[in-house]
Amino acid sequence: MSTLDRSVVEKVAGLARIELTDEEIERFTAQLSVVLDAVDRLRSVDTSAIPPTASVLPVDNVMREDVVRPSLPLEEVFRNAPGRDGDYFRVQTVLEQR
Amino acid sequence: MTGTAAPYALVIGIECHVELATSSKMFCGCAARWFGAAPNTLVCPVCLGLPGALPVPNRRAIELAMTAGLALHCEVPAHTKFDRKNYLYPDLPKGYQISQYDLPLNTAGWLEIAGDDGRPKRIRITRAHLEEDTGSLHHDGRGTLVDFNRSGVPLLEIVSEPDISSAREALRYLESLREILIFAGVAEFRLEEGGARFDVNVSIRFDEGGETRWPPQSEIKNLNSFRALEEAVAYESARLWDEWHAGGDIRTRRTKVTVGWSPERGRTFPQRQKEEVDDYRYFPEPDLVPLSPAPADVERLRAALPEMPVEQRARFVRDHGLSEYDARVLVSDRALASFFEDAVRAAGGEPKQVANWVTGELLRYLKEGNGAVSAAKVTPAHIGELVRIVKDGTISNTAAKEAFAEMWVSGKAPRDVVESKGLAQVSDEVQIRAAVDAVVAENDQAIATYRAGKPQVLGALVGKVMKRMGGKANPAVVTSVLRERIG
Ligand SMILES: [Zn+2]
Repeated sequence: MSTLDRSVVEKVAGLARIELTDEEIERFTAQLSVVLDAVDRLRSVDTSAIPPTASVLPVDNVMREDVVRPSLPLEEVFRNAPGRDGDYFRVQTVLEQR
Repeated sequence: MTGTAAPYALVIGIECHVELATSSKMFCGCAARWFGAAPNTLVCPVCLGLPGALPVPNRRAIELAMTAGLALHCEVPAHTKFDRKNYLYPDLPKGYQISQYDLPLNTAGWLEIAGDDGRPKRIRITRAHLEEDTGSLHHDGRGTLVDFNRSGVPLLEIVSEPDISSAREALRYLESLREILIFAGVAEFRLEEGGARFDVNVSIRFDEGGETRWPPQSEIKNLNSFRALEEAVAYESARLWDEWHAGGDIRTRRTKVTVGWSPERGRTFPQRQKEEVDDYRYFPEPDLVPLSPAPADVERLRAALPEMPVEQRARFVRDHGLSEYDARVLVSDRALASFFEDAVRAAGGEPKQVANWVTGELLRYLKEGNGAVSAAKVTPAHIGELVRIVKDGTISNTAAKEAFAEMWVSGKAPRDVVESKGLAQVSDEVQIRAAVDAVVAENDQAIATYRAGKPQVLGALVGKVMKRMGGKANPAVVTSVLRERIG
């Protein structure tokens, strides 16, 4: 059984920059526990004879050649932008620099 | 700077992010040369992270990353893949960065530097993995502006083991890394254009009351010059020491701190604690399939690797008898080094003479004209010929310099220049004897002095003969004829 508690949900919400109400935290804790428990059932499958894989697709080494293609015109670039200032996107101030 | 005098040992590891020299970005066809481009003109749905856009890896970027790994003696895994590193920041349009987590493209390599004790020292390289660069942020009074031109540029992150013991060794490590990556054609490493950045982990270790203390490290983020690195390491290590002795929380804290560097103030400042590794919620990138480098491709890339600078320098000293200094100058530029070797072949040997021309006249003219070796009109074959005709006495060294000046401008071969400018020196003894006779007839006094046991007068007499012959006589022949005549 998964023992997801509300502090985990709060933390994940923080990482995703989502603000949740108390009621939402309660609700999502219960819902996410169900999801985790379902995924947990996979652990019971014996995979010792199965080679590890990072993909379910039967192909690898898909690549493109190093060729420059035209980029978007500016009006397309900013079509759905939440904020535009000249030819820049304008966003909320970020206090700390990375 | 913190050296042997410091009361603690320094332990340094470096993560170097360097942009690869591709034409297009890592996962889309936008041009990768973002520096100086008008904002947001090199973007498309992929590097803007628009919904539904799908990445396709750039073959050249992967080959360059593998070439870097091979040059750094790394192992190439049979299987590698891309992962999503999740975090939210305005320079990251998708909300995740495509990177590599547990199966990087290169593992377990090393490079050699001169250690502080003067002996060769290997710095181990943990891994070198591929990722995409982020956009760039500009802060103004009203908020933050974002330019995504840099978003998606292929970036190689090279992580060293904490094998570096001083700021000087850190610089030597980065200089060596830079040289190798440029030589291998992997990266241009233009620091002034943001083409490489470093995160440096610094910790100090010391004895206190018979016990070894090794307080948690500081990670200095995003240094963008060698100078900043040198200053930041010195500052931060001293700060750790002071904080320990002031009884700060460094004594009880278990985790590292993240700091930035302010070059203006010459000090570090604490940064927001970024997510811990778990918080990045890495998982395999579902939009990309795994990579399995074919052994044949790996061998092809390995065979195409040029000789590395450290090896080439050693060979120039050993096989060509050059000084360490000349070897260093020549090998500072791959094109210059091969120009030199071609010229030695054309000269049929004489590497020291060739090196004198290349590091002397050629470099001087290149610097004055701000040009590249490849664009010079003077070719290795010309230098080879020039060395040969100086050696066989056709022209004097002085005349050869005059010839070089003309060759530089016109691109003509040395023999043509010598002919058209009448630079050939006269070695014909009949002509020289006539001039010597004339000088002897006019300089009784000097000759008497010479015979009285003052051989230094000879120089002046040689000069008079040279002058009489318009400076074109072979001075060695003049000297011997003159000596014979008055001795
Ligand atoms: Zn793009």
